[in-house]
Amino acid sequence: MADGKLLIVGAGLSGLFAGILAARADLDVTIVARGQGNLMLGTGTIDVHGYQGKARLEVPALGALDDDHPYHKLSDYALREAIELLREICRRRGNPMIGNLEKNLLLPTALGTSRPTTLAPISMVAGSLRDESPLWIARLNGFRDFFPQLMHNRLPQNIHIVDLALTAKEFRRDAYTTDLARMLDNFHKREQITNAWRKSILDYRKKTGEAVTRLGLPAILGLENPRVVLADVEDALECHVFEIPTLPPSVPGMRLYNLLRAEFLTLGGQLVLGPSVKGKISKYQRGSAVMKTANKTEKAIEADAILLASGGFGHHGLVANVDGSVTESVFDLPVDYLTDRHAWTAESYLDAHPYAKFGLRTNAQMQPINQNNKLQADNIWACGSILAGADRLSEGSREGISLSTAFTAVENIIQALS
Amino acid sequence: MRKQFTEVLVIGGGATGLSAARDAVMRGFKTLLLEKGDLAHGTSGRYHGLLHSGGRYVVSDPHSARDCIAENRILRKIIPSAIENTDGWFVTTPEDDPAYADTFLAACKAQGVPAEELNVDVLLNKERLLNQRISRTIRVPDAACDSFDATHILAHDIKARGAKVLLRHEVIGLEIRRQKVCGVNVRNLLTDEEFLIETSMVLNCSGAWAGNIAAMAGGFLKVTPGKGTMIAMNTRLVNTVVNRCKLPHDGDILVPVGTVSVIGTTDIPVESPDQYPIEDWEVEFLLNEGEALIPGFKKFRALRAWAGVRPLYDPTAGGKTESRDLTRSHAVIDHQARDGVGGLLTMVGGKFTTMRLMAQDLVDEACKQLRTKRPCTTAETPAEAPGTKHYYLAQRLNRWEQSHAQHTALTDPIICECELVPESKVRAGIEASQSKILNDLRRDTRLGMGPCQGGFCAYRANGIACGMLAQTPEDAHTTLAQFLQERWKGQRNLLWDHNLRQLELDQNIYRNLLGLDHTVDTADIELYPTEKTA
Repeated sequence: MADGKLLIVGAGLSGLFAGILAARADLDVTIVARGQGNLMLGTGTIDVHGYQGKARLEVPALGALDDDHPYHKLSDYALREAIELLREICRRRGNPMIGNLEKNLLLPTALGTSRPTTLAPISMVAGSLRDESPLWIARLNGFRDFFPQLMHNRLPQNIHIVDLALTAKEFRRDAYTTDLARMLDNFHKREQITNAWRKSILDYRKKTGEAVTRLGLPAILGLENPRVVLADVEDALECHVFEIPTLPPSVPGMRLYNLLRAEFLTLGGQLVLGPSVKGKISKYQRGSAVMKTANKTEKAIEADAILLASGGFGHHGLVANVDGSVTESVFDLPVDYLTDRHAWTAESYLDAHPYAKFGLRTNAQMQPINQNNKLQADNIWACGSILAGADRLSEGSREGISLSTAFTAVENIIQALS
Repeated sequence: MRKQFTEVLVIGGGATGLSAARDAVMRGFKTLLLEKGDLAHGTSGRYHGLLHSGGRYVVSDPHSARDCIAENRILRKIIPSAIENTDGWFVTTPEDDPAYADTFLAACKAQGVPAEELNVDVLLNKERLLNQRISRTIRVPDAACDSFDATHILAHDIKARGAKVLLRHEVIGLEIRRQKVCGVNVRNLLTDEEFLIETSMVLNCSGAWAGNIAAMAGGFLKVTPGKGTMIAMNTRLVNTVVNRCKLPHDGDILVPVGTVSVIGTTDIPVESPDQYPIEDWEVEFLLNEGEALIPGFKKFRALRAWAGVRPLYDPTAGGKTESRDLTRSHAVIDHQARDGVGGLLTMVGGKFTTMRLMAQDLVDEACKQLRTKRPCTTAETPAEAPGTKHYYLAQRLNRWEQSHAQHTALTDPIICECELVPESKVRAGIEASQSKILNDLRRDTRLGMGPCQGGFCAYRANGIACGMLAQTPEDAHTTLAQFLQERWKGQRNLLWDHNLRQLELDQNIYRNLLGLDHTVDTADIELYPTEKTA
């Protein structure tokens, strides 16, 4: 086992996962992050590789990706072990993830398209589109972030809409998914809500003569103990229930965040949320860093190794400047990008945009290098969405890259420190 | 073929056309207005939002200045809720000649534009972001005007007075008999139905597109589309209109409009009023000019860039090309005298602030040709209910809070958080327009015009519209993709810092969470100008 101090910048999926791995190896780990990362905005699923062009993949086909894709820098076990480990943590902490690398799950989106993914929380799997039986989708009256009438009929499954009562008087302001989730976390409110829903379902049955076998809800089934909420709702409605991710904030993503954070803290890790981190690299190729707090004070952070899990453009790991340059926000490391800004994006909003592949270039040890493959610092590593070479949205690969590159980076950090 | 009849037919649903239709219907003419897109679809909807005091023109174009100050006073009375009484200032920055302020003051006095030079601290204490090295400050009665609100108020008034407004109807030809226009052939762009509208008088108010209509009458009319590019900054960097105190030039006005501030404009003659891409140098130029007014301007978030085309009339037809030199004042073209075709008048030139006066001049001429004497009453008759107040920044928030203070339950959620558009407004907008085009709803309500550029509200509005208009999901997805594509146009030139972060968030919503890119074929998305849905 190694010992030494590791600073991780960023508390998204890759930062937290790396923190857990390093803490398990007895490193003294501190995570410093400005905010909570992409989990709060995403689907709460683990996407490894879902699309090739526009085609959905039955199985991840990593071999088909470009040579400089982050997946190609990894050992052949990194992805598999990372996925297994995540699954183990989620199961132990009461929010099991279902699925495997042998076959992508297919789950419905809120527009009724079929979305491939590798792991999904147990609360989503009853919506599987590999099952050809019809789907009933709940319309929650007065909730502005979920419109099942937009789910289309290109799917082989028939889609039926069921109106569920949702009394708006619960809210003194506009309700987000998280407000509904917190209500469902509360035992008494949950009972009231499920009773009202049960009545709606019975009315629907009476009116249409259809027996609802599986019912989709927006992803709101509790933040604290989703398994209990799911079981209670299923008992009351007497059917399978599944969640469909909708507009942020993401309840399934927050569950995953909370769970990983708890795991990290239990292992003795330290988490500092709020400050930004600024670093510099000495002439001896060593990186050092300070935290900048809101009241403008700077505090040095002792670290033998620094792992950048600071994210892409969406989370300030990479910053595009008004002059057309792109910088890495902590150390100003060299970034792979196109100098012609017109080439960054596609004409069509919904097409793949080349800027998505901008990021840090690394060697196989996950250490940043420049365009001439020169190592930038001996004690800096990088993982997650800051890495160059992947279009995570178009490939459906965000979480797989985050987990496997975090795994590989920590493996190398441990080796370097021991 | 279906036939209709109207006495006066107005072409163009921008500020000029709506004002002309209002003038005509108030003089008792049976009036019909045709617009090939939506209200304010052309230049009016791409305007910087400045209600001129005339100050900008006192030196270079005194005639326009006099028109502006008179109309400024009138518009405040007839469309009050579209106007925010911000006041305006002419300021001498270190880059400007301080002596010009004296020329300016003298010219204001000569043209009757109220102007008062005050100690610089009065303005600098109010507008903390302004350049502290500004040396002279002159106050004038400029104001901010929301052109979407203005055109909607006018349209509402016109319809209440019995005129007809047909949107998404394009003129495909003029019916000319015995050297006189006696009808207009029209195509409904949503249904492709074609029909004839017979009329005694056609008023061509199609702005930068006026030459196309004139050509249908066999006339040649040179309207030089002058492209003006503007940038909306994310917040109100100023609460008053700020002009550089110098001869009018590019990038010298900053106008607070609603929740944003707009810096404008450039002025470049372009070939076609339908194709005028924004160039990188324009963006860079405007942001640099902003630095003279507000040091650090470039560090603020530039939200969206867009351009409009001014309908500048070139009587010399091909002589001069500098479009800022072409007159901003307006002229009525009588095609009888000019081309030997009666029953058609074209309005050329002009500006948003003088829309009512332009309409008055146009309809005066129409009356003369129709041999009838009917006085214009548009200046005295408000288009809104008596007692309507000017717009103020917190108005929407105030209304919303007040409506909720009366209920214990929240029943009218906010659909567009950036522009505070509640569900009731979205529903009212869709109900009134019956339009499947979300961009029409944007022009009705400002939905999607704030910092997230449709990130959250587009899906919500789409869900509401889909239910109300009984759209199929496939149709609704195309609607959604079209709207996002339209919003995308104004963002592509400004992709740095926050805008790129925003793009990541919005792309995460539409391509990751919702999978919209896997349900619509991007090749199917027909874009501006017709915004036609299948």
